[in-house]
Amino acid sequence: MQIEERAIGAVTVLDIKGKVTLDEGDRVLRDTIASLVERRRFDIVIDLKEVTYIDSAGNGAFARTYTTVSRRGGTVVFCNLSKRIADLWTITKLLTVYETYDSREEAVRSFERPRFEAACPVCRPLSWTSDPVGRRLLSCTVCDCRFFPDLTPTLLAPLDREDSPAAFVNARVSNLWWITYYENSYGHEAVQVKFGRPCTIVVSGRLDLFAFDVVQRAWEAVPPPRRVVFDTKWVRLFSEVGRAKLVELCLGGDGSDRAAIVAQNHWPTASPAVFADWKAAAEALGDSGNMPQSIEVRVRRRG
Amino acid sequence: MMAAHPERRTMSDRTDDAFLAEKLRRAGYGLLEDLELLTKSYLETGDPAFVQTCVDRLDGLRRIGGPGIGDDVERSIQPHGATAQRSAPIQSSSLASVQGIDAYAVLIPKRMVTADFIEVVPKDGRLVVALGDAPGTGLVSAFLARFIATVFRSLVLAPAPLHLGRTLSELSSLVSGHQLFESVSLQCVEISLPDDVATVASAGHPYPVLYSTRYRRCDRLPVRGPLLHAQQSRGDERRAYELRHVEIGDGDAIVLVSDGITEGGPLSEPYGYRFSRVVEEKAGADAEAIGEAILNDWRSHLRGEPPVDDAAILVMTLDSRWMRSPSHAD
Repeated sequence: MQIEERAIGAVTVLDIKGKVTLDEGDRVLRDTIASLVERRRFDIVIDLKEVTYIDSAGNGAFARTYTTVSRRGGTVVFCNLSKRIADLWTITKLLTVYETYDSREEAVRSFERPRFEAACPVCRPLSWTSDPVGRRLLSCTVCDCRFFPDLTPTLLAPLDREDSPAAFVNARVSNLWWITYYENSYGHEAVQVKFGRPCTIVVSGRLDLFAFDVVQRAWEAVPPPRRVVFDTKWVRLFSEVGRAKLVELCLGGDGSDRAAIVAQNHWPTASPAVFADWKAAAEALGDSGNMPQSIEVRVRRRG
Repeated sequence: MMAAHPERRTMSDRTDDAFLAEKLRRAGYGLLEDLELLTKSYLETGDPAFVQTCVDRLDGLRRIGGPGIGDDVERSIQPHGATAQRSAPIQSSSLASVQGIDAYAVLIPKRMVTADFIEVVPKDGRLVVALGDAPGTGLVSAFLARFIATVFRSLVLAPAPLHLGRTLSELSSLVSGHQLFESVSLQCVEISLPDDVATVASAGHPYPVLYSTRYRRCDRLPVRGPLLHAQQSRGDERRAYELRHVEIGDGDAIVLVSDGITEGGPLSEPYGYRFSRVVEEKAGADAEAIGEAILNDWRSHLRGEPPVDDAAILVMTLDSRWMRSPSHAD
C-alpha cells in the first residue's frame, strides 16, 4: 500500500493506493496518522479511489484512524468509496459512523462549514449520526433507521457559531425507513413509516417473523395514541406467523392504539383488522386528527 | 475493574515460554486449555494484561518453535468439541451439537493458522453458534480468535438467561480493554428447535443465509451491527446489539461464512453469496455434504489463486421430526 499526502490549506488529503491489509497497509496508515497528529494536522480526507482491497486488519486501521483523530478533536472524512468498500462498511455499520463523499472536492469543501449531528428519532437513549447536512438521508448506527431531517439554513442558524447558546434545534422528519439494498427471493425488503392522519406503515418484500422485528420497531416509532394503517400490498412472502403477529398487533393492546391492515388477495382468512384498500382501513380507525404529520429530531453541533 | 486474583496472576507468571514450548513438543500443544484458563482469568479480573502476556508468549514461542509451530497450534485451534478430520491446509470438523441439528465446520487458513473462529455451544437444548474473524493473519491473530471464541462460550454458558444482543455487547465491552481486539467481526445464531425459531445477532459480519424448505429458496438474513471494539467514541458500546428472529423448520439449513469466503476470487468478481445456489441444489443433504459442496464451489471460483484471507464456513441442517415422535412425547 502507498499513501501520498498533500495539503490543501488546513486540510490534509491522503491518497491511498493498493491493498489495505495487515502489515502491508495497517502499519503505514498508523505511522502516517501519528505523524499528522504530531504536526497537529487534524482535518483529514482519506481518498480511497485507488484502494483495491481491504481486509479486516485494514478495516481496523481505518476505525483506529477515525477514533484517534476524533478523540483529539479532529475530523476524518472519506471519499471515492468503491462499491465493495461501501458494502463492507454497510454490514459493519461503519458507513453510518464515517462521513463519506462522492468526490475529493466535496470532501475538502466539507471542512468549510460547521459539522452537525442528528439524533435518531427512534432510539432511546439518543443515538447520534454525523453529517446531516452533507448526506441528508441518515442512518442510525444502532437501529438502522433511515431518516431525512428537513434542514434549512434558517433552522441551523442558531448553531452556526461555535459559542452559540443553543444546545440543539429540532428538525422535522416525515418518513422513516428500514431498507435492505439487494433483493432476496421475495424482492426488495423495506419497512417505511409515513407520518400523517392516519400514519401509514408500508411493508415490502416479506412479512414473517424476521420482518416483524422491524415492523414492531416501526410501530413503536409512532407516537401514541397511534392510528396506523399497515399497507402490505408490496409484500411477496408471507408466513402464517407474520400475518398472525400483525393481526395481534392491530387487535391487541388496551384500545388506546388503533391499527388496520391493507391487504389484497394474499390474506387467506377474514379478519376485522384487514381491509381491501387504504381508504377503508383509514376510515375504520376513526378520528386520526391527533396524529402528527411529522416528528422532530434533535440536531446539534458536533463537539 | 476488579483487582487481579493473586493466585491466578502467579500461575500465569509461572507459565513461561520454556514451559509452553515443552508442552507443545510433548503433548501436542495444550494451548486451548491455557486459553480457557487465561480467558477465565480475564473475565474475573477484567485485566487486559493477561492478553498481552499471552500474545508476548506466543511471539516467544514462534521464535523458539520455528515455522513448524503453526502445525501444532493449528491442531489446537479448532472449533470447541471438534473431532479433527484434517487435510492440510483445510480443517474440517464434525461438531458437538444438540439433537436434531447437524453441524459441520470448515476453516481455511490463508497461511499456517487461521484467525477466523467458530464456536458451537449447546445450551439447554438449544444450539448457540458464533463465527468470527479476528484482524490479520498468523499466530497472534489465531490466538486472539480463539480467545474471543472462548470468552463467547463463557458468556453463553453463564447462568443468566441468554440474550445474544447483550452477549455481543458484553463481549465488545470486555475486549475493548485491549487494542489487539480492534475491529473483530462476529455473527452468532441461537437455534431453538422446540420453538422453531433462530435468533441472529451480528457484529459486522457477512449475513447468515437460511435455506427454507417451505419456500425452497435461500435468503440472506440482513442483520447488521458494529464491529466489536470499533466505535467506542460513539458511546454505544454498552447498548445491546440488534436481535432478529427467523422462523425455521424441518429440512432447513443455516449457513454462516466469513468474509474470506464472500471476498474470495478476482477483485472484479468476488465470490459473494454464490453458495446460496449450491445450498439450494444440495437441499436435504447433511451438513457435511453441503459444507463440502460450498467449499468446492468456492475453490472453483478462486481458479487456483490462493485465498485472500482466512475463510470459514459453518453449516447447520435442522430436523425437528424427532420431537414429534411418540417416544419423545412420552
